[in-house]
Amino acid sequence: MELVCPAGNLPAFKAAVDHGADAVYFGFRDATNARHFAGLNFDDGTARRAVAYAHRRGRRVFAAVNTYPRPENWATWTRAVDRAAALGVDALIAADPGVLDYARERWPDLPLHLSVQASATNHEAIAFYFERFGIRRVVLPRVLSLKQVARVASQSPVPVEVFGFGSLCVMVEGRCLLSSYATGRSPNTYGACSPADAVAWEEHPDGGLDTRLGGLLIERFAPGERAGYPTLCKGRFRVGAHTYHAIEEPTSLNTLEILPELQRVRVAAIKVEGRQRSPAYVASVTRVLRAALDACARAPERYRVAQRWRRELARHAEGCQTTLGAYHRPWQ
Amino acid sequence: MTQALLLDHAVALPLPALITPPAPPLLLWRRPLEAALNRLFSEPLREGALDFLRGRWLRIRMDRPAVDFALTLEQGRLRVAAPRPGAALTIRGGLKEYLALVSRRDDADTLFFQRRLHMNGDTELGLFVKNFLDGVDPKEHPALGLVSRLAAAALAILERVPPPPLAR
Repeated sequence: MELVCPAGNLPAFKAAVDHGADAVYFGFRDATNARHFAGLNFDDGTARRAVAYAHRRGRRVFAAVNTYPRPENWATWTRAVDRAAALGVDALIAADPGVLDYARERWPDLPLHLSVQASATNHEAIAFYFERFGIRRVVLPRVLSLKQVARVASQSPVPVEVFGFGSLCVMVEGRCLLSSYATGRSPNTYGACSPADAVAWEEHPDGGLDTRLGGLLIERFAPGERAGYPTLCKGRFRVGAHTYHAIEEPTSLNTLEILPELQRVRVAAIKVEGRQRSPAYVASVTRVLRAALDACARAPERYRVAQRWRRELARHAEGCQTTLGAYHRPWQ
Repeated sequence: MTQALLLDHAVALPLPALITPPAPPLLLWRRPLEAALNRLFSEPLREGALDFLRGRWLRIRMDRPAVDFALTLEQGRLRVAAPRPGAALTIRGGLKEYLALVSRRDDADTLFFQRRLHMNGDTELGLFVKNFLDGVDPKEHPALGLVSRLAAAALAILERVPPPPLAR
């Protein structure tokens, strides 16, 4: 299985390549990708250097242009596709059918990957994107159980890529409207679940920490309690008599345990989440997954998760633990 | 405070006190720090990569040793000054946390999740600061690479010493 790692800046990109990523994915400095944060991502100059760095070392580069354009800013998205093509990237990760169609028509030689943001959860949907746009790979949403991944992978006309580590998204990706409610901006078109100007952290004298999104209180951490990203889906809410993570817990997905099974069901690539994270995170997670994937490829029957891998990944987790996420939902 | 705690403190004080002496007053290191920062970041400053600090004060606090200063961009140069009311953002952490950041060993989000790094104020400015620091390549700026290695060495020494028993 191929290892696909995130980069939000040039040092992180180099760290991914240096520590064993087979491919690195990145986005431009605007709303055309789903990590639209202040000071993050690539302009043409840094992207050119990144692509050259990877290609010189025989690795591949994917550009994410995976949010949804609106009528008034359509040209920003086609320009992003053109920029990616001009950079000579090895694939474009996209979700919007219009963007996929534009890329297919304008740059027929540019391989297309269907983004997780397209939320294709069954082989018929994937077949549609394959027949209509000639996609070469699909990134599956983080909502499928292992059994469902196996079924999709066995029937998909193109290789499948799944998330192997990082923060979770619980909704039907690409269609989430939760944060629009609090911020007036949709992650699908703006490129961020919680635009920074809508986020307020407030620390109390006792060490407690409140998180507000668009002025709404979405989380209250006890002193010393591990915190998570300020997204609505990971807040705690009062439901009936209880206050709890009513939608999702702030945990990180970790698939080290099930790599042999993912390999057995013919998953083609493992993706790491986290373009918003630092070079330190990218280096460390890439190193661990490289070692695990190599061990798994060598002898899947003898594969064991090393304690040091577990410890290293747990260090970076959002919240206080890692989880198999939807992969282990027996009822799905 | 219980007697046991006092005793504990008295026994353990000398060691951390040795490695974390009280910081000299700002008056002494304000100009050297300012000069060093302007030199270290001369290229990003020229490229406008620090423009997000123009007209806004970033306050940086450390508990032990006590360090507290404010930083802004004025006429294309970084300016260091005494902390002032109205800083757009305050970042607070311990020596280990700052060393982990400067040495690039730990991710700012990780430290924030673990509640070891604290941020108060403009979240977007915080993202700009974090992403600026992450985006500077120590391999392309030898001086920064050196600072980063020195921080890593200091952190390694610090981590071999048991932490002081009384937090703050």
